[in-house]
Amino acid sequence: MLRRARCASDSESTAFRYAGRERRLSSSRASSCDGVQRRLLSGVAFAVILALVSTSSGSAQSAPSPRATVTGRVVEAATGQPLSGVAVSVEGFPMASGSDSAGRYQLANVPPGPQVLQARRLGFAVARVPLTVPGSGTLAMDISMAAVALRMTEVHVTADANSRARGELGSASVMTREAIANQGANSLAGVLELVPGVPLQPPGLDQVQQIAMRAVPTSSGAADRLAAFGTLIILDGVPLSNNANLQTTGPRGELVPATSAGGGIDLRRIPAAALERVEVIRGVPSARYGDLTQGAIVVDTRAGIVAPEIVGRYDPRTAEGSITGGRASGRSQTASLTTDLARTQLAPGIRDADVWRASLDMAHRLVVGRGSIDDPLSPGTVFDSRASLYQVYQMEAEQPTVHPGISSSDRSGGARLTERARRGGLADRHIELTASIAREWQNTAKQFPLVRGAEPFTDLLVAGRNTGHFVAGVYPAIVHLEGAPWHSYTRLEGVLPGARFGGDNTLRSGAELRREWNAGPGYQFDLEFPPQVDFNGVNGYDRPRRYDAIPPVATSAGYIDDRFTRTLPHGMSLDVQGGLRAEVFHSGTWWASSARDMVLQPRINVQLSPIPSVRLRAGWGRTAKLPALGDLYPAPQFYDVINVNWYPPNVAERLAVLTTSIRDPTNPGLGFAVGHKAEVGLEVDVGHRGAALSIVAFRDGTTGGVGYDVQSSFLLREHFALRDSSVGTGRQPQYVTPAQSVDTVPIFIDRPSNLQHIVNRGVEWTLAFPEIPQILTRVEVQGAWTVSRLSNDALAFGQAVSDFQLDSMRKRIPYWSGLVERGERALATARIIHHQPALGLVITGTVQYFIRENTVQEGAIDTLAWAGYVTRSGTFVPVPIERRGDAQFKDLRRQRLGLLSVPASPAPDWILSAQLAKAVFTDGRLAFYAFNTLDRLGRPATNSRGSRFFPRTRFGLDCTLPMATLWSGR
Amino acid sequence: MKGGPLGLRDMRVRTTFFALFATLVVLQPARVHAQSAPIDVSSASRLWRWSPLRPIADLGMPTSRLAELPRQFELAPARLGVPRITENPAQLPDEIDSAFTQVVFSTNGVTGAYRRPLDPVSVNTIGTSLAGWRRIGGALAAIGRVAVDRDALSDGSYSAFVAPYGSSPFVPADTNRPALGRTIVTLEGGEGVVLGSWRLGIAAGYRGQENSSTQSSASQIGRASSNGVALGAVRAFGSRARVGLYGRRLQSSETVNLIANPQTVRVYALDGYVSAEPADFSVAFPAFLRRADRTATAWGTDVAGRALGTSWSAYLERQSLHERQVSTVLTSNPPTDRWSTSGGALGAAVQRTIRGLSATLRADWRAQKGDADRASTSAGAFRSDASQLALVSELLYASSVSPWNFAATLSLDRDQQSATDDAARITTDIIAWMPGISGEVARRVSDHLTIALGYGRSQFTPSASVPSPVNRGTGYTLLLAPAIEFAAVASHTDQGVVTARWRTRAGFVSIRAWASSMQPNSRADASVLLPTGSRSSLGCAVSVASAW
Repeated sequence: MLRRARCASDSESTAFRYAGRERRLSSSRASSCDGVQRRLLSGVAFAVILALVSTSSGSAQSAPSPRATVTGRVVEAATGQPLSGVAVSVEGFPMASGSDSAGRYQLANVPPGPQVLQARRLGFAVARVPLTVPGSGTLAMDISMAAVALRMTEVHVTADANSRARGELGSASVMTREAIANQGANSLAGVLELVPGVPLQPPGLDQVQQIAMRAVPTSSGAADRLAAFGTLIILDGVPLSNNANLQTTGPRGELVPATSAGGGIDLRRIPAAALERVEVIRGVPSARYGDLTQGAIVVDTRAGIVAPEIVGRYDPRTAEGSITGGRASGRSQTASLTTDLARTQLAPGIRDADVWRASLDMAHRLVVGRGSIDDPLSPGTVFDSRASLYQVYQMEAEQPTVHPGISSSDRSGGARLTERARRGGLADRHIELTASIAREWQNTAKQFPLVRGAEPFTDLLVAGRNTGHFVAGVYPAIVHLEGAPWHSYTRLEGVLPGARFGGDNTLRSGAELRREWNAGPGYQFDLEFPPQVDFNGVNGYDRPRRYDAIPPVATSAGYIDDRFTRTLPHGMSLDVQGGLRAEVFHSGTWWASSARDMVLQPRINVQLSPIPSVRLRAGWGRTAKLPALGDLYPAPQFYDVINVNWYPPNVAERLAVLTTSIRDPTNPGLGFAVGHKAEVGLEVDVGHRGAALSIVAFRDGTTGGVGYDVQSSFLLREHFALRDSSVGTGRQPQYVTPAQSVDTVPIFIDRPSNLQHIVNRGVEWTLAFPEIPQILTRVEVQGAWTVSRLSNDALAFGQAVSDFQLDSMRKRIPYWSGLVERGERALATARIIHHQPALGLVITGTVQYFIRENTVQEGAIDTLAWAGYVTRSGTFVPVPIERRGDAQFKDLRRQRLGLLSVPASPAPDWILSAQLAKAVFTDGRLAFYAFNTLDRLGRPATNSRGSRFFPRTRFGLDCTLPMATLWSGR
Repeated sequence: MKGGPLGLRDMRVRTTFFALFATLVVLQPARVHAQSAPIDVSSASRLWRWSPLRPIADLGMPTSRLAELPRQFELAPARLGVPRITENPAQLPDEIDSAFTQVVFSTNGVTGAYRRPLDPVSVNTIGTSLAGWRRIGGALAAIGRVAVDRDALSDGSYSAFVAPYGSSPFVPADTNRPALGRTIVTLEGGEGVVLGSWRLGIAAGYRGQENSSTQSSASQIGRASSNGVALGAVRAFGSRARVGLYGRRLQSSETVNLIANPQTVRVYALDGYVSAEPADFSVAFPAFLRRADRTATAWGTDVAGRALGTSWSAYLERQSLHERQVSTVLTSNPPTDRWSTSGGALGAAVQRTIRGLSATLRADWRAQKGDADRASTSAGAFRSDASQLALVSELLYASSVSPWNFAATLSLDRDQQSATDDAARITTDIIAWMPGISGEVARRVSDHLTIALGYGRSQFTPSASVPSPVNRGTGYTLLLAPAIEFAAVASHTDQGVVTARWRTRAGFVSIRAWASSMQPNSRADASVLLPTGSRSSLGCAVSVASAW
């Protein structure tokens, strides 16, 4: 009986109306009482259908219901002057109106009951006015709006309470929807340019986009790749992973496709139009987040009640269109949809190459019980369902008459289903279960004409001796990489707020299960046209291999985290967040298997406010990152040793005999890369028109990043005598077994190891000046000085390796160790924001100044810098430096080559980008942007410095059309 | 209503004229940098005088152009006196007393054989723009425009630079002639504020152009951007006179890459009147790159006022332009071609309106001297002097009683350029007179519909001293001589315009179509290299305008 009553009560409250028409209570009541299971089943279908029709005015509705008209005036709060062109809407409903020149607005058919009026206009703070709408008649409600200059495009960079990521105390940059829209980016990478120290880039989807938090490029690019790999992206509560991306030809690849494998995920897949909020945790993240070494980027996509809008962007290279909309169904369900299609031309005029990106995101929320769709932590159960699809397709078709034999394509797509179920209790206690399954499809192809002399080649796929053939001339080498990464993720988390120890506590604990594998056909090429051919080959070759033969990787983690806030005497306050995370890398393919590696990760952040406007902060934590699947299970290395190389003029008489050996470079000891993050900071929030200062000093160190070690070994090479080897017979000779002689051939095995170490240190700052009201202008300056130092334990052999293998007379070659790469960058970005509220105009000028840049590879290059030598049998013999001048080592004393010992330090320089946004169609927006507005080229190299060239100017338009406003007559 | 700015008493007439004026202003954008023959219907650029992107001290060789169409529909808001003549943004608060917004979609095509060598064979343009102005409170006035145009240049464009017929003698020419697609985005705006008897103003603008060859085995990739900013101050002496000072800076850059892809690219780097030797760039050699940076400044004073029922304005301006061109940007001190001009401009206008009949007299004069500094130290000097005089008289009649309105314009232009190239031992001296006449008749067909027909004709009559092209070399014969002949031969232009305007409750919808042509008065003599045939343009535009 109680249950029946509850259902009836719920259904009363879940009656919903679209555009003034009401769905009858009876149908809602019936569906409400059918139970939760039926709701769940219908949820997905409802999400799709509701989103598709979200912009329409409803369907299948019956008799009209009582409704009211809301009218009033919109005035500027400071002056009382009427405001025209203000979009006034009712939250959760598509009806909208625009104010006229006298500031008057009128909304008809407003559903009765408690509602919230929302008034928006560019240059003004959004006004939200709660009101209770009567069942009929007219309700007068005036609205006051306050003019505001956009605060640093809404980026709060640690200077006030809003600058933290939700549930986090580490330093962060937070971008709201307003900031994202104002940034006018094509993808998440463009939005991240609002983070201190990130260089501006031209808009578009030109190339793989990755973000390396708190790291700057070094000479080889290895430091930022490693940092990008260690930067975690959390999309709608679920971490994304690029660990199972195997779309690379590895260290021996000759045709190297441009993919994101080995680094962070390609941010092109996440359109900016789909983003609701981005939190970049630059400091120490809480124990909740794992599989990272640098930082975490928490991304929320648009969901829930979203006013439908169309966004179009156009510049000479890039065109993009997106549609977004979401609406409520009663008080228990919301559904939304965002779809985006973009295209960027690559090098137009030279190549007919394009990048296409298509994405579709659907979200559905179902509230069971007394919960609110606006408050996921309210008592009751909330089910959040997400489905997303994306595809990034980069294609350069072959132009037979212009560039014959050259083509490439990279198709990377994926689908992901996520379900988050939260059960809330009293006092914000809740438990949450998150489950996600993601499947990607990746297809990379590259074709390039290779030029070879006469090279013996065998296509044997197993170890043994075989008669080969000769590859010669120009031929189209083709590789195909076809992967299908899977990623499953499950998390169970409980949150227990409470008051303990004289302050407020939020205790959070959870457990995670992750499993990743790749089910693709793998690395394929036509053996007739191999992409790797060389005489012998000291590092071996790759052969086709299937990715689905690689075992899955399972990891699990548990964490506990507590945040304690307490007010101290004399107006001081203390905020502490500490936690412990244990991350386990299992030896088997499931979580029941034993631990292959485990890392305990304590983390703590402390914040002390001696006075309300000043905060002193510090954080320290340990982090860990799992190696990529390709590093855990590297490709077997094939060594084709040439036994017979008989090459007379007559093709029919030629004979190649090769012996294939296979070495497995798998490193069973490969484990986590471990990071240590530390930071201290000072924040001053003057509070007067947004003036604020923030300075953070940091030191992030990672040890055990995966790189390729070189393991030396040797093979035995048999030399066979030939029988019937007279030239002119028209027949191949025969080789005589057993072998006439045997010698050794040195080989090197590329073995993944935890050998890379990177230390990033620097300072980030943000300085927000108060708004100058007379000219409605505001200035914010932010920047970062970062030094990255990358070292690895790998050995280098110079450029004589091939000679050593082929020339049996050479008994040894030197090796070097201790390569260190160093990168440094000091970057300041000033944003000047001017607005004209009366015109709905916002002008943003961004000046980025490169104060200092420097890259250098540290290491001696003199003739005594070598560390030892390696013999033909693969033995490393170290030689102390005091003995390297001995006469016996004369053959080893050579300068180290390939080291960029001259630092590249371009002169300071700056670029300017500008943007102008104008309110149109009441709630819409037309923006013009020009990257590198002055088309500055940069500076050429001089004798003592490197060069810097800026990306060329890029300009375009960006238009947002609010469909609800347009369709409702304004 | 009592007393508009010009004493009009009929609000309806005022509104009508106002809207149609705006139609004219925006429908014919100021594409003064377009890479096409002067047949382009862009004469309305004078109405967008405040634009900070207008060229400065960049007079080229005399050339025929269309007669200025009468400003029939601009009568009512003719408080354009000063912005129409000068470019001082501080005058905006005294010129703008209304609000207006307009969206335009337009298309235009230019084609024909009567063209200069660096003009494309044909250009087809589609574009859209949003423009408007409004008063903000009692003290502030703002005006602005954003436009996007997409040009399709047919196979046959010789010039690698967007505007090859400016004053500069340095122009790279690409004889592979690939078809080009070009996107042009223009953004400009200005604000003026009243501070007691003072007015302060600022205007800023940006134009970006990017072009690339399409489906070509010889690639041409170019980009150009212009940034302009103008600052002004005005002191008002009652309502009768205003005196202002202003300055403007225009900075632009242009970069062109010509790349063998894989077809060999043949480039003529034009340098004054020297017969340029072709340079070939194949896949084995680096691509051709040319970068031009131009900085132009103008500063001056202007006065405006009203006396005895007559509005008047005048200005005096000093102008200069400095251009730097390099072909190697990878070195710190590359060989550099430099071009500088300096000169002045002055102008005045008076306007009087009585009972719907308005008469306007306007005079503009500009003059400049230019001097080149060539990268090649062995080359001689290149100098040119140029001037341009424009005298325009307009008579417009607009009545609230009669359904008929009419307008007529009589103009006389004088263009002059003399240039001496010591290296080529060539001197040209061309003086061209260009009388023009045009008229437009409009009839209000109904309460909502007005239709107007217009026609204009100009006569280009040069008096020239030009060298014989004989034995001058291939580069000169191919690329220079026809352009000189083009400027030295009499020609005439004709244009016709039809406008239909539909008045709605919220504003106006206008459709405007035009056609124009240009042709020499006599057929080409076999002994000269004058282009033959004619050149014509055809276009139309649809606009939606509203007074908000």
